[in-house]
Amino acid sequence: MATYDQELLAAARRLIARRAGQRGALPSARTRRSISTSYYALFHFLLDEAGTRLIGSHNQLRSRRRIFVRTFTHAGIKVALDKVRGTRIDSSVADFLRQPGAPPGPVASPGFVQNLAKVFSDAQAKRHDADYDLSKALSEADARLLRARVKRVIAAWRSATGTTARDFKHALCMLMLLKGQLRRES
Amino acid sequence: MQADFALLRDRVREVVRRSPVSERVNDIVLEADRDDEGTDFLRVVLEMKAIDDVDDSELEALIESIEKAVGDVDERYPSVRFADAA
Repeated sequence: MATYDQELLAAARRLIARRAGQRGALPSARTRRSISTSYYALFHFLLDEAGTRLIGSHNQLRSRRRIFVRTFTHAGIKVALDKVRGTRIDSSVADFLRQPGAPPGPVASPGFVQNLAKVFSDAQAKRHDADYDLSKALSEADARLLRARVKRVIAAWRSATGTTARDFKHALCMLMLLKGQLRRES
Repeated sequence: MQADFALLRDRVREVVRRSPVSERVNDIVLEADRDDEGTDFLRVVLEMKAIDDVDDSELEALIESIEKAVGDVDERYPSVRFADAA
């Protein structure tokens, strides 16, 4: 059975699909809806990951997961992901994301996380223009490329299954819940 | 850190120049903006000739190269877009 993010990505593809021989620009509403839908595929994927990792995957927990993920915000996820977008994790959250037992010092952000964070930033910026600012042009290529990138970063996240990756994902999901902010001791 | 606009434009221009699709790029437009959450970002628009004839993998490589070139000198995320110059 397809997951919700997969259903959204399929919808994003259908919005920009062409019939055989169809030429000319697609209606901009279809391009913009496709971009928005690709963003929501990534957003809901992250909610699903957080719900599963922090609440549990058992079917009986579905209602609790759905209530729980309502506490996440677009802005909070963005702030958290901005802190892991570079090769080195932002120092304000480095200790929190450090692998247990790892030595002190800068913490490297895993490649699959960096890429997901970049694509989230891109998708959110484009989705905002797609939904709210018609003066900002967005092309069919933008929609096609964004969908492909979202699909790829989700696949990369899913395929990172080692112990270190699982620990990092768990901590990052908590950081997203905390809207990227930790209380710091002085 | 936020870099000077001239430096950013030079970096994007250099990435485009080294790209296999450089001949198709008519113009580069760079804008700074702030999203609803108050985060600054950059909008990088590449105006291209016959964009639908370009392979998506080449466009994706160009996006990633620009993200790297800008990200090395500026904390603002560069959201790269392609516009048809027709």
